[in-house]
Amino acid sequence: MWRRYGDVAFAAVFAIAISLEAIPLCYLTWTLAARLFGNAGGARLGSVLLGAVGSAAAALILVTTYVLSYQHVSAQHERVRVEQRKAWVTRWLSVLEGSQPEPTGTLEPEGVQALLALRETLRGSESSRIAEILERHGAVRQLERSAGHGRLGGRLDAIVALSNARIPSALPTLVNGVYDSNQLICVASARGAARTLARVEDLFDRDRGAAALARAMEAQELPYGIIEEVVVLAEDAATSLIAVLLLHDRPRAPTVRAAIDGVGRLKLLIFAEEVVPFLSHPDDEVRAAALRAVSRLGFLPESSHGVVIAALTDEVDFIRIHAAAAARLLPRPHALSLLSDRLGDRSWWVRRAAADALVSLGPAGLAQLGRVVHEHPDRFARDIAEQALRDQMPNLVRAVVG
Amino acid sequence: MRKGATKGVAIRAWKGDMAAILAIEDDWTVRTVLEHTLSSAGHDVDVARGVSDGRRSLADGHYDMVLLDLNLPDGNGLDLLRDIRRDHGADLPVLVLSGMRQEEAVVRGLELGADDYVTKPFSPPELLARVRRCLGR
Repeated sequence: MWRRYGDVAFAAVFAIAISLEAIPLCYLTWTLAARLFGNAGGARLGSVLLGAVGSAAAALILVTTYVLSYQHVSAQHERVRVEQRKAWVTRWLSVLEGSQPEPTGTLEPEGVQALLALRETLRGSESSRIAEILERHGAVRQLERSAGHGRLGGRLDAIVALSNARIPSALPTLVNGVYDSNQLICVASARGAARTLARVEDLFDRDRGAAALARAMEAQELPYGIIEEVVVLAEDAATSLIAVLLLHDRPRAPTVRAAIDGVGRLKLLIFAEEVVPFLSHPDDEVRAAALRAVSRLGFLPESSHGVVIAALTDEVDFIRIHAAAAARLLPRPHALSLLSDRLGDRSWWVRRAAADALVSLGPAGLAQLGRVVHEHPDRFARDIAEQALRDQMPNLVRAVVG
Repeated sequence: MRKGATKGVAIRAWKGDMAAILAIEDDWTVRTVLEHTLSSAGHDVDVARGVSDGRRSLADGHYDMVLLDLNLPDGNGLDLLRDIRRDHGADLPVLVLSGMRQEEAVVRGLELGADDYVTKPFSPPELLARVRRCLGR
């Protein structure tokens, strides 16, 4: 059962319910054993059996009542919280526009939650003022304290709140959280640190924060998926983070892969030259990421043409798939001919990637697909070329008819 | 009713000051901010929480402008935009609300006839400026 409140009540109710089941069942087992050896009468056994059934029924009634009451109370509680938060959002908006004075003293939790929600929704000077209010009322310090100590749920809630608040002064706390031995805290802190890093405006502080976060992720050996998410969440600060990750002394393959994928996803042309050497990396996943990145960036220097051409016939299927996508960046006659060859690849995915790459080459690629349909010796190549052209029919009709 | 409107019930002539605006947005914080910001500027604001809610409001009400979120819980805002353009022609201004990484959806929205877009998180003065621009076009 999903619970947000009442851990103690939950534990107490279930301890009583289990006792109501277990103790009578033990006693019943004892009485049955005694009867087996002739030490107990039928009447006594009957009453013990009746007591055990009654006790089990009482346990069931107790649990059912608890569950139903909990649903009722928590739904009401949630409604009240939402209403309070809405009232606070309206109040804070009036404070921001100057039509109401700022509340004084310690803020109640719903007031803080409303500020955090507004910090997520607004940008510009209003967002900066929200950050100031949060700091002035001690809400950030309180969240930082809760993020470091206490039970897991409370710590996670505080980390998520800090992550939503994106207050630059909380970055060291979040980076420290990445070193936590609990994986949940570690990952949530890494996400929060990335989101906070995105709001650090001073370039020197941003680079320093990026370096600290990169060190923490490397120390914890975070997997590829998490590092990639962190890079994307860092938004404008991703450049600083990727620079540190790529220029690390001996970066791990998952780190390099995540950084290169970040370059491609965020289309950071500034790193185009840095990605190219990874096209020859010994790790297949890193090589595939580099091919993906050059394809997304649309940048392939002449010195790397040979590497992409070689990758088109690599033994590993997913290398050939990404090489096919990158091959569209080769000089046109080369690209048309090499991609036509890949239409006959043993893997359907490579054939499809080659067909898509030909489509992306525009009229020349479509004409090449048309020739393949009639002239290619391989039946599968002819089929995929025909399919790619059929898929393009609606676009072609729209282009011609308007 | 504005000239050229194919379905007049949802469109009325904007007189230049207060406008009737329908905000279709599922996130309650954003909804509250839109409601507060636009009401403070003197506009009359109705809110809808999703595509079907928005369709109902458009069928029943009279609006000068629609603010439309693209990610709605019960459907795609782009589908609703297509329907608005089909039913009301180009006379009902639509301002699209998009997330940070929704460039493609924004482009698609503009192709489908949205008048402008605002990226979330947004600044209230910027929102008001864009609303004024859409209403005054």
